[in-house]
Amino acid sequence: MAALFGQDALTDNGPGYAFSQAPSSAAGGIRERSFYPYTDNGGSTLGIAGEDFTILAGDTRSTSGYNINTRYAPKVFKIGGDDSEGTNATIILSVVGFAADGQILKERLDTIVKMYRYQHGKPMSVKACAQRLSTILYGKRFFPYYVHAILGGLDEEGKGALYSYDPVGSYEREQCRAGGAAASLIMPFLDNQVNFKNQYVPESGEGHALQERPRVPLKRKETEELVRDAFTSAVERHIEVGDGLQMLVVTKDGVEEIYSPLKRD
Amino acid sequence: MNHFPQAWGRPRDDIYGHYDASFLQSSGPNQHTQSPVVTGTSVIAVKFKDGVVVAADNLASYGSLARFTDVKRLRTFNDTTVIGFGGDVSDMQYLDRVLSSLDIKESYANDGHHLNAKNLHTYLAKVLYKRRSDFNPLWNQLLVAGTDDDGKPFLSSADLLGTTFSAPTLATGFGAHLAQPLLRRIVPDEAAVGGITQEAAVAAVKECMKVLFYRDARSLDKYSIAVVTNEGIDLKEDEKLEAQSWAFAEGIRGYGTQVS
Amino acid sequence: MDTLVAQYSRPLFENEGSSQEEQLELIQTLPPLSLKFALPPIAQPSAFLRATTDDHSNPDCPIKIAHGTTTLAFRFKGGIIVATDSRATAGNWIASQTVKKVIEINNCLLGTMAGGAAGTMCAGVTPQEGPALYYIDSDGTRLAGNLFCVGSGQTFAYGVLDAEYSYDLEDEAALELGRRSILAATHRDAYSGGFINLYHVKEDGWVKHGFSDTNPIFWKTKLDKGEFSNVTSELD
Repeated sequence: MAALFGQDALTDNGPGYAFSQAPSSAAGGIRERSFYPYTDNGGSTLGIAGEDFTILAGDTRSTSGYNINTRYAPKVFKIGGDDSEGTNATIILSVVGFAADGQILKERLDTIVKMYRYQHGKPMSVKACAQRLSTILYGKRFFPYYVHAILGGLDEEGKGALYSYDPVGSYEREQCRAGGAAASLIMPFLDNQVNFKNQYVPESGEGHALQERPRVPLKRKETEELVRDAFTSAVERHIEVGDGLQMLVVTKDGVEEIYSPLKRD
Repeated sequence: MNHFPQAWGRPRDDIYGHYDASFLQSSGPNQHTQSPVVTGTSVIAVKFKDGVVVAADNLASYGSLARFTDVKRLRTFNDTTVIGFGGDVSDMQYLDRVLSSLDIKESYANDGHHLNAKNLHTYLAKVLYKRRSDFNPLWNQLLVAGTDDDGKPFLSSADLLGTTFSAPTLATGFGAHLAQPLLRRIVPDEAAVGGITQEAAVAAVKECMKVLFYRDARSLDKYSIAVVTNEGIDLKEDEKLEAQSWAFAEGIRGYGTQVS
Repeated sequence: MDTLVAQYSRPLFENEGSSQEEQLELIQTLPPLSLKFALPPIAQPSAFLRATTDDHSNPDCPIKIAHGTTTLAFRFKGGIIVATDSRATAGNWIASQTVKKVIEINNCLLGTMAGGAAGTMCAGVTPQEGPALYYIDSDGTRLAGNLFCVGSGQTFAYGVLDAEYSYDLEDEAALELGRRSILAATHRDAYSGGFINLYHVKEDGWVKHGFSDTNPIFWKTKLDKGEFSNVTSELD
């Protein structure tokens, strides 16, 4: 029965195609190199856009296999500030996956946003920065940066803006997004708590007549609490998540950093 | 491009050739420069209130053979920085020459500016990342110790993939499993660094070297240890493990001929 | 000889790190006009790319690119209907349910996209051609035609579309057919789902007809029209 639903169900007794349907492995032969240039440093990130703010958060654990490299390795960064500390920055970026690629990606984007201000005499908009980040990632389409990036800021109207990316630059503006090791644990929680997915108005009807709960923009305080709940829960169920929670919040007044400890087991 | 629903949009074997999973593995036939040959084992380091203590043994192994027993794996730079090398010894010696040429260039400038540990760590991480991106890695794990721009203790790691991270205690190789938990017990976080004296840090590192010698089959009882502070570097390259006790060995059962 | 001398007469550190040119590239605020891709420096970059990203051949591959989709477009007397689902999958993980797979190129040209690489459609009106529809894919295939379905859910969409299609459809019926075909695909293809994105390209430009959740549309189609009768509506 399993073979019936297997991905190559047609292989055995399917019609006679001109080419093999099922992927097959190379029959051996000498390979050029054996060095594998990627590793996964674990951890998780999360972003939520509100009415007039955007929060990006990440745990601060860095791992190699079952080892903890360090308990404090930030995954969320300020982009395009006045100096190397990111003073007066208005855009934030989180990267999770292969930390070395993430670091390089962050430095490239930071440099570009700084150069933009130097050359144009005005700060880069999040929209432009989001597009540019996509082209940076896509430029490495054939040797990808092994990262899940999330970009945050405020749009032209002052509303919270959040963009999420796949490793090769496909991107989308969203209300919320979780990335990294515990993305599959956090994202369903966010769907339910931010976009009110599968929530219905009580007593609005039976079965299919149920009314969906209308979406309302979240307040900053409750969003921060949501982020904290998401991470404390992820820490309980994922070994690569823990140690500390770093949050960057963008508002019209700038970027605020909040750090709080997580379980270190 | 495959048009079947199950594999829609994926590459087709008849056009792109077979799926070759060997790109994901790190075993099999390969060139010598693509894997380490003569290797050094752990490097361990811990921050204390005024600086950092680093140690590494003096052994270079050739597989399981203890090939060279007087290899110095700690290198100083500018009297401000100590770099500890784990991994391939020839790549370590190459990096050593790169650093020496960099030192000469910086000295020529004679502008009163000196590269500190933080600067050097950034530089080395870039070199390592560039090499991994060229698929021609320098097969090392480094610990860079010294002080940062504010004169505070600095300790950070960089490896052959260009991955970097920083912590109050660090250990590469076997040390990441054996020494790191012991060091973390003494310095659990950055806040604890201020309460650690130089003597306590040195004692902890020496104890770790001993534990590593007991259990790491690629280690040696001769080692180098360096203490780096704002006052300079105290490097000792010919230390011997003291007060070893192999009494625990008697209690070990289940290996070799002793099975019960 | 000169290169040998140069190699050994310059300081060693100059051989390491990025070249001046590479560093300048990194600070360009504008992306290069001609796409310049970074390739892994090995003999077969395409094999390396496949090894790391082909999740069909190797479900454990480290980098999973969003794939799987249903898109369709067809010409009829009132112009062109373009419809897509909105799901992006990476392996079995639903990466997004809100992808905009229709690209609004200008007020009378639309594109659709499917998967990390692979097939697209171009639909638009031009003075020379009138309403025109093309299928294009990453192999370089370009086909002009009246009706296309693309993606992992293409067969399900074709099933509905071929059965009901006529060039002489009225606007409302054509829109409903586009919607119903995508609905069929989202119902039977696990890699398609989310929202139905519907467009109508007319002589004077395109009109958007919503980005609508499939779930209520499905239940409406079932309960009001009696379709999908194989699915039970009883809750107990």
